[in-house]
Amino acid sequence: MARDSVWVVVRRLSSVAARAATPTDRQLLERFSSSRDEEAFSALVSRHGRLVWGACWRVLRHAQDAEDACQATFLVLARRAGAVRWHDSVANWLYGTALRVSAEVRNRNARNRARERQGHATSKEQPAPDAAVRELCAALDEELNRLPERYREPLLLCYLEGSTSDQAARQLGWSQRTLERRLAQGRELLRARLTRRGLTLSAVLLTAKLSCETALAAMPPDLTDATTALAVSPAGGSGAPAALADATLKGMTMWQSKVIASVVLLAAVALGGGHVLLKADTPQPPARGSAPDSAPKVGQPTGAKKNADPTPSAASLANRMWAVMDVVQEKHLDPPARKDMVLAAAKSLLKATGAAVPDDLARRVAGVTKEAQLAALIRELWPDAARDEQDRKLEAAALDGFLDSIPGRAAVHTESQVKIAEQLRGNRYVGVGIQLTSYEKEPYPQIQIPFRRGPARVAGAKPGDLIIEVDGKSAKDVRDLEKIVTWFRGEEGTAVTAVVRQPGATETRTLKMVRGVIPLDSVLGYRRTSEDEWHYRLDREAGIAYVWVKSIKSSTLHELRQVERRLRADGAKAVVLDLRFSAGEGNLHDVALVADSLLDGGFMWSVRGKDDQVSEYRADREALFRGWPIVALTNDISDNCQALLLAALQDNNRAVLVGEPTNNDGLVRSRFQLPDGKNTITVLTGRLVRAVKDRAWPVRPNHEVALDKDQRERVRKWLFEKELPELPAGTDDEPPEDPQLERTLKELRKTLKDGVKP
Amino acid sequence: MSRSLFTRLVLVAAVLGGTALAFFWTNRGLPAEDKQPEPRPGLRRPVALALADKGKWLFVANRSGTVSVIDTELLKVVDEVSVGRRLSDLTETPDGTGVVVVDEDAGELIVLRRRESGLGATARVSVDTGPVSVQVSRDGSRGFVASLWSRRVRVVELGAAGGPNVRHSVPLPFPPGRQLLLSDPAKLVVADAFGGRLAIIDPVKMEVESVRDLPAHNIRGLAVSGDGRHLLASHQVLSARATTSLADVHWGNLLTNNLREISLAAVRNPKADLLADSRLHHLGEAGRGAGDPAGLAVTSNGTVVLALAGVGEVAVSGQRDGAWQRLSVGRRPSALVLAPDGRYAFVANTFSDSVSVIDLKARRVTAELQLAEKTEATAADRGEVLFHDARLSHDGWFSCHSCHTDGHTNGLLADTLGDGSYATPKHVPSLRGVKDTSPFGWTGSVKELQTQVRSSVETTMRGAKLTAAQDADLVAYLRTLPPAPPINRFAEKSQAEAVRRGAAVFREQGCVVCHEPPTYTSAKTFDVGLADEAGNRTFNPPSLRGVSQAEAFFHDGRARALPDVFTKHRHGLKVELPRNELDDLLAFLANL
Repeated sequence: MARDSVWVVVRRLSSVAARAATPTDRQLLERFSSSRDEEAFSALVSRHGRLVWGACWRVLRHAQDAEDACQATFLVLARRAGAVRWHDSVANWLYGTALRVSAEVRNRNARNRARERQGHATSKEQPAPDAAVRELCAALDEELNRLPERYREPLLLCYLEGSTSDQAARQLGWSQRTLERRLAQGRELLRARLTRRGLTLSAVLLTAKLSCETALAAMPPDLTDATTALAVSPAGGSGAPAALADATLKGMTMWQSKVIASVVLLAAVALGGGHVLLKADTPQPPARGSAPDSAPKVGQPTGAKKNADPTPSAASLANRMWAVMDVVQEKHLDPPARKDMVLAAAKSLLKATGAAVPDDLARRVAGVTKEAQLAALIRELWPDAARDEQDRKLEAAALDGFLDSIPGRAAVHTESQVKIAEQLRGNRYVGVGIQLTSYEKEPYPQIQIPFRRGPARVAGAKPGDLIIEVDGKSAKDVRDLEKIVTWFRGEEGTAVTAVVRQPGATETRTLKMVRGVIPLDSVLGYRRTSEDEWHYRLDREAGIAYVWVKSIKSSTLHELRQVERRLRADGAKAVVLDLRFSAGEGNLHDVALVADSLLDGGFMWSVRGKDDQVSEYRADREALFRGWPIVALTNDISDNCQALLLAALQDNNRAVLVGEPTNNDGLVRSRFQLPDGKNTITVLTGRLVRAVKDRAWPVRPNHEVALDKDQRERVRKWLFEKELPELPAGTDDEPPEDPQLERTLKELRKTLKDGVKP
Repeated sequence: MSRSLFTRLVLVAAVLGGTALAFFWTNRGLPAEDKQPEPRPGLRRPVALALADKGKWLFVANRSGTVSVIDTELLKVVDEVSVGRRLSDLTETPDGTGVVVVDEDAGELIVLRRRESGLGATARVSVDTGPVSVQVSRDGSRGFVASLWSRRVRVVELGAAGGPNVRHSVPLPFPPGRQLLLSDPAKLVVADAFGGRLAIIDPVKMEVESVRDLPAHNIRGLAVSGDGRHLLASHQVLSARATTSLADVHWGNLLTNNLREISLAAVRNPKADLLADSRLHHLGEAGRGAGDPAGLAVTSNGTVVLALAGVGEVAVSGQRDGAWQRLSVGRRPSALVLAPDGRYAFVANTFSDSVSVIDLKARRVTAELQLAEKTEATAADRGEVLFHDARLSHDGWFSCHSCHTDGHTNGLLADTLGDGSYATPKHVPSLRGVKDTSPFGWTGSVKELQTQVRSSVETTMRGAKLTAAQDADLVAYLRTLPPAPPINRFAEKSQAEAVRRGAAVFREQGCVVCHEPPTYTSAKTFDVGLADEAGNRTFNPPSLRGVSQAEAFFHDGRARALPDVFTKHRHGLKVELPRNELDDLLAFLANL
């Protein structure tokens, strides 16, 4: 590009900014929205073109893409001009929008590349010669974007737009002193944040400045005019920028609908094969659900006819209870006496009927030694006038009391529950990959999240889409989201079609989906940088990487291996394993694989089962992150799997634990099939014994660091929001204050510096 | 010898069955462009490659007994010379004047040397039964030949006055496979043919310095890394903790395909822990396994090129995120060699009878040269191809050969459904001599080999259902596998007397009840006082033919040496045997 044209652009941008007594952005936008004042919009583009262009350029590094993104950003501004109450300066808003539009372009490009790669498995990756600059720029934008608005704005204006402080103060409607104070504070905050990532502010600003110069060199000279023309064109423009603007606008509106209820389509039932570790504090009673269709059934009715027997469920209920008692007697670590279980059921039943407990109940229960006698007892206790509805409630009550009487709690699950749980545990969940929610403004269920790589997302489902019908069945007024879930569920490879539309829109879209396996990551990075990429590095200089182990399942080992490969290629030397709030799908088999993979030999733990039979778990010599110091973050997680992993790491001196004690019970539960061949029961079968004698449950961290309620909530939110394919607009994308993580970094930095294992 | 002589290359076909020092010359004239031989019918099965004359000529050792010659400039097969019965390896001599090949069936090392008017077999040395790999020292004076079942490395003096002769024999505690000669100071690394052991041999003193155990099996490629500081080994890792459930197979929890980097300093130091400074690369990922990594080579800039034999691909390292780029080649790429400038890689596709040419700069396959005319294969031939095809398994993670290495066993435990449950890992049985040992599986629940094959593919490999034809082909192949030869066959001194006495002990102790001759097994199951984790107490006795070549004993491999079966576990003995009787019994078993 000719040098002249660059200077023309720069001069033009500066001259606009320098003009005294200029109208504020808000005034310009008002003029534009009320009278389509082209000049007003042109002034806005001139004023902020450099900021927007620079942001787009830093993300995309491609002239055409940056131009599209830059124009799309201003298009969004034009379309929203009359819809939003604007601040005096729109710099902040433009900056955030530019970053989002650019991210969308980058993701789109990545998707296209991925598609191309699938076609030509052998095509070569594009080299990235300016990776370091890119990374610094990305760090700057990420951290700037995370600053509170009042600090971000002066930084944007003064550092990225090149305004003087009095120009910036005027634009923002602040006093010069306020501006300078906030500028200094913002600078300080930014510096602190960058330091945390192992970067210095001056280096980043210098890079950004150099990058700005490159950006300006690449900036098309007629950008202002072209953008303004596009913005004021009556059709609202077409082509790439317009499409981008559309996509961005949709993303902005959809999160404004209030979420009133959320059912995860992948609702977890914590089950597993063989040994099962259930959450200690989450009883899973059967037959508690009110809907008969979804309530687990224990055993099959024995064919008693409704009319012939005044208490129709008695025989069947006795049959099911007896089957459970047989399994409990045989398999339970410390089985209760049958009479105690029957007594508990009887008391619970009587309580539900409102009847008093007869004095001789214990004696009558003691006489029950056969299934038929149990049926007779149930019949005696059953109220005469019970109707169908009440029958079911009473039955549920009896079973509740019955199962609650089993030490360590027992849980009964249906075939389909087990199947879903197995799919989740194996990370081979079959479905269309959406999270549903109720929508309050219209009588349709809403797709809250179409999961990444899921069939729905591939078919074009968008966050916020309302589901109009599924396979021809109308979803209108269907309030029971679980019902919708069952419509979507089915075997892998089968087809399902849904009609959807965006809220308020009239145009519907038909999504043709093929149910498939939806991988749900259990190992996540520090922050998502695009749909399939993570940023793992917490401290670049020291080489400290971070992963959040969200859950432990069959895929966790594989995911850790993939992450290790990336981190090694990236030059990391230490890793933070965050296990806080980690939960779900727990299984002894999977956690043994994961613990084994992190330990270089050694005794992991043992399981003490019935009759004091002990099975010992030893690790082989293969070790991921070999030679790296590891610090694991812990809090009051109740899953025994996660606690077991932490204990094995601590007991073998493989990791230092920071945080709060766990909240697990150290019990092993195993699942067994009931005689009906369909339902399963999960009962206590063993106790977990730690490798180091005298260490017990819960697991206590080496360095205890607590979070206050507020911090805890923000950390939790921060961790879970990472999973969303795109962050809701207006989400506080600022990393929360996290003393536990701070301490972790301190430990690792010290270890790396001293060169000794923590 | 003057360089100009190399420009004309005339090939000589060696006549078979010659004496060790026979010289055969059959001048077949120049491989001129207008006189290229058409590929002849018959399977070739290329297994090893070597380049000569600054990369101008590529020699391919074929299991069929021939060496194919490829002009790498014309990318044409210019000749094929018959040199033996079943070639297993080949390497160039350091002076560039020829190649050395080994013949597994004839038990010979053959020197093919270029002469004024061509190249031909200049010497044959009878080395040992079943040589499987060969290395030549830097100065060309010595050849090292590893022989599988005799468990030793023969050192051949190549430059001896009266022609090459076997100078020395280094016994090994395991059946050897691949070898790699390190320099400065010279060390010979010899890998286990089935399991994960490495022997480090001092080639000057001709003795074993150390034997190390890696958590690995099926070590098929050895090389030195680009920085010269690491030993690279391609192999697999089987976890006894994982099961053969779909989830564990899918996520690579059960079996992984790896490249391991081991510090050479640790290799050279007999006391060092090989794993302490090692790194394990995982090839393949969920959805795309990289079954059976095999031959590998390293370019001068450190890029690793690695054959993935089970999935018919070659993986190339050097992606930015540490991932590997994968290129499709022919079936069962097992060996590869790099052009001197590092630009091209040549890959021997054993089951396609072809050589693929890979442009490493462009990262694409530029040619596939057929070594033979397509031939009608027998059922056993097709079965062999299937046996080594990882695509039979879910996502290509592993083939039958991954665990039943070369039809034998990797000696490890696998937790399959073969015994009806998980959490009961069992010792992988050898399939050698399997045609005579029905029923199958440790619990002896399967009568037909066909049923066992089908169930292994479906419930262990988690692959698609086999067609009836595939089933039959696999069985036909398995039926061709002979039992492993008894180790006594290779003994220096006759054991006949001890064997005779041991046979009497075997009878007297009642071993024959379960281990009935001639197969030394039976169709029934027996309780020998061992139980597995699920409470199974009766197992089908494994055949004792070739038992001296086994590495692990009992259903869970609890005994790691044959004497332990009797001394530690007192298996099947009515009374405790006196030492001499035990020795006789062991001699008898080593003769089966």
